[in-house]
Amino acid sequence: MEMTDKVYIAVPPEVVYNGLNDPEILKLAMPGCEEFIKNSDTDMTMKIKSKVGPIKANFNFKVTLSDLNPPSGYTIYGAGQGGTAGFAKGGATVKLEPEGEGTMMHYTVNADIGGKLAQLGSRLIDSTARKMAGEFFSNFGEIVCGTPESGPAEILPLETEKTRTSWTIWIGVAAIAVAAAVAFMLMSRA
Amino acid sequence: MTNPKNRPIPASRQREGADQSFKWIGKSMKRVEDPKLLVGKGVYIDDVSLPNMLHAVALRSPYAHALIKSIDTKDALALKGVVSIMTGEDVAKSTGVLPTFSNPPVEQRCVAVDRVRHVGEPVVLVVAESRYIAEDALELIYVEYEELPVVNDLVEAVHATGDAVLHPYLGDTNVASHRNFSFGPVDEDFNNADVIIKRNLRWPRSGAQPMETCGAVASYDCGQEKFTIHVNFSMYNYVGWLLADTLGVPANKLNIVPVLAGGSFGSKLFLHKVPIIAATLARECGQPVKYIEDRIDNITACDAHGSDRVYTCELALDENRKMTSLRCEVIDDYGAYFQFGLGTHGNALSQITGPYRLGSVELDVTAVFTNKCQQGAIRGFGAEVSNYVMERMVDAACSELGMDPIEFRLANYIQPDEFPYYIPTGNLYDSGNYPAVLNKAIELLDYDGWRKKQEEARKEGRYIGIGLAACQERSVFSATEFWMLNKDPGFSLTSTPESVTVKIDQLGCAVITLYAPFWGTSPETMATMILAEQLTINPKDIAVIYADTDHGLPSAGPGGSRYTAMIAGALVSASGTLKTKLLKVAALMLEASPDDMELRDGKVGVKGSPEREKTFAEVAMQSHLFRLSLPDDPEFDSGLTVSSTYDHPLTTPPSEDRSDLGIFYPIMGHMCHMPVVEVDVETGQVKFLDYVAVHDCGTVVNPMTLDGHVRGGTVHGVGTALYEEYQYDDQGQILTASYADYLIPTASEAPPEIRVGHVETPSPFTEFGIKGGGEGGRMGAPPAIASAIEDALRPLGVKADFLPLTPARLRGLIRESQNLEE
Repeated sequence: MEMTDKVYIAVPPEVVYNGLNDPEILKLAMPGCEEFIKNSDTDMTMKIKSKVGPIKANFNFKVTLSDLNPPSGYTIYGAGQGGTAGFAKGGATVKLEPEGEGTMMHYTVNADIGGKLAQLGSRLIDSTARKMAGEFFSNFGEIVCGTPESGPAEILPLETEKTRTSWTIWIGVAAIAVAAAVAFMLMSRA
Repeated sequence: MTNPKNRPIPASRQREGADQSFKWIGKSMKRVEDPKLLVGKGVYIDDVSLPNMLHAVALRSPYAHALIKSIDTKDALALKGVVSIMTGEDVAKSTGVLPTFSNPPVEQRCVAVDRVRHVGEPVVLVVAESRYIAEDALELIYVEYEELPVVNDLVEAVHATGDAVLHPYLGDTNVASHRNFSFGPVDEDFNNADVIIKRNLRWPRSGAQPMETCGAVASYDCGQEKFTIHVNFSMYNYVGWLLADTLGVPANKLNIVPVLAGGSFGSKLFLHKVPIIAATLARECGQPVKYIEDRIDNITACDAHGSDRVYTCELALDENRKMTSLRCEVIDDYGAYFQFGLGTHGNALSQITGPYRLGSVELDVTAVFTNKCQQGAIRGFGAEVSNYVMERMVDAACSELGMDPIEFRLANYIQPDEFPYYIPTGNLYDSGNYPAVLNKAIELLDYDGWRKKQEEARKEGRYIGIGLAACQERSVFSATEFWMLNKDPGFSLTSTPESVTVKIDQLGCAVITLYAPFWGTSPETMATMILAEQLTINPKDIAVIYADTDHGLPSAGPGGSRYTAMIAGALVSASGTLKTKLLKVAALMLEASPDDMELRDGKVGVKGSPEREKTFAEVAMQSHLFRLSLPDDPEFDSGLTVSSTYDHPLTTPPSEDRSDLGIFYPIMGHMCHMPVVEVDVETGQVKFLDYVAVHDCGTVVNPMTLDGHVRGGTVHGVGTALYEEYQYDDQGQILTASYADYLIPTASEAPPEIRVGHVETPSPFTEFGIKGGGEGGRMGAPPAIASAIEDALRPLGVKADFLPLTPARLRGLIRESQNLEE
């Protein structure tokens, strides 16, 4: 699968980029993330626990960042085994551009999944993905550009993207979250 | 080259003709199987529960093609309740390769060793005290894979080399077999052709989808060194001994016990992986083990996906618009293994020229390996595809030459006075009356009436189409089809026998023992009706049981639409012997001559003397318990039990060079399907307005059960034509592993009513003239529906050559043709 898209985030690129590189923020923002270890600036491992329809998945991911160009972008690659749920692997190229007060994030995603995640089809996973996307939006927004009191930041897909399916939107969100995003992005694609 | 037409036709071995008045045969009797099934007392595989039974599951490969680098089962073994875990290497220490008809043998193991070749292939087996624990343990097994290039596309598979080759020990190619078969003067016919019609056709990979998946409960007695396997496997008395070979024991150390199968539609013909897994684990654990596929297991790894073919076809016609020759190149995607070799093409060659007088035919087959579940048996076994091909080509000829589809068929049919008729491949059509079937369908449908309605509808902008398919249903297969297309067969079976044992007990009631299982068809009803006919006893006084392999007699079981015709043969033999004995014993009891005796309504009496008679019970009591008051001749030995085996009624071996395949599928049924559909050109949805299916299965034993077969098979064919398709992505991931994505027609998609008609052209070679009827619906519906859709969209010029014609695909074709117009 390959997909290209963009989303608008209402904070400057530096803030987004730093948030994306902060293991604590990502761990907090990503639903089901149980462990996020930054081995170096470019290597991370993470564990994500998730339930997608009838499939319970415990993913162990290895994530690698390359072409780091703060605060304008990077390339990520991740691969993980999800036990009987199957496997996920893939990458994303992310570019952050200032736009007004905030950031326009462009991304290109490549992902492959296998086993039951692929077999059960997107219709079963769609609603889970949507729910997790919502959670990530809300969490990341609160953390990077606001307090719970001031409410979540405006991180929403562009109006023009309305025709896309909800999981596409979710994948855009996931890509923002760098490594963590890869994991969910891969899972959602089934 | 031998010319089959010069080969003499073996004499008929028929003993009971069709031309007699029957009491039971031909009546719509309710199925005797049903009461136990309807009250929930049928025993299916999951109902089998043995003391101390354990439960097994398989960890399956998520990769389509990969090397297994390491397997870590430590954590899983530590889970409470887990009894044993076996990897492919562990299994290979005690259990051999699975049986295969391919030669050179394509090696398949019940659990992969070193390499996985399709998604869903078992990699590790777990046995635990419950299925829940076993499933949980799967989460604790860590397998490291090294991915290999995936072969997904059947055309690309032809050229794959290197790491993309699935079975490197067979050579640096994924071509499993390439053969060219030419029968009759093909080149001459094409050189002399006035017109040559060309089409490219696609038949999609689908599956049988039985409600119950494959399963086995196995136990191992280390004292006797003997396995007992309960399994929903059909040919257990025919090829069950091959499983003993895989397990490394003599065949008398393996008893296979049949259970009711919750549907098969061919797919449980020859189970090997499932019973071997259960048996291997039972031997390892010293306790009984149950192993049953779940739905995803079945869809991804049941070893029974259907034909998956791309055809390039040419049809030659002479100046009189008579078809003379058919030339097909086909690539067939067999998936990861090759258990029946080219068997599905062998099957199709039995009737590849359809009901028509073609003088020659050429088939160029390329079988390829891809990273998918392997092909197996499914209703039609490949001949449903050649039916589709022939009828598509006939429709193409009619449409391109502007000929009436009915007139064209009638002019090209083999005529009723030409039977028995050799087709170019060497197979014989025993009998038939194709114009009668077509005319009956025309009449039942009110064909002319629908043509008028179609015309009116077109004026309103509605797209109604009337389909027509006139197809063969070869029945009563001979074993040669499994091996005759191999240059060098692994082993060559000849007959496909079938046996029964009939016992008349002390009280005069009969017990029939069958040696093949209940498959969802009506074997007990068929056996009951035929025995009742032969012995004049009431069906209520007949019981039917099934024998395991310990008590087995030769039997190939249901498959290839053979079972009714074959047990009829065995029952005629057994009942004949019993009748003789009943007459002789009763004659002694009544002091009459056996020649003057007759069977009448469950009694044995003197002809012309209604008062001089003995009931079966009286005669049976005499025979069972008072033998010493009968003459000292072996024919009066105690009891009234006879076992009979009936061999294939009409088969001859293929020639050495295979230019003549011999007679191998001669009991030739025929059908004409006429659906009326309406296509919504805006959405691509196809709606059935009417459906007529007229079948000629020779003498009909039970019209009601045959109607059920035809209707069920037709709906199966609706699925193949419009919805069903196993889809794999370019990484070999199957995307249709559940019924959310693999679409089966439900009541809403099926025709509201399938109106069934029968024409009876009895076979001169089988008892009572019975022909098979088990596969017919699916063998006729796909081309008929394609024909109807093409007819509906004729104003748009859409060709319905790619199945399934899902709304999306059909809409694409409509859009294409509309763009062309603009």
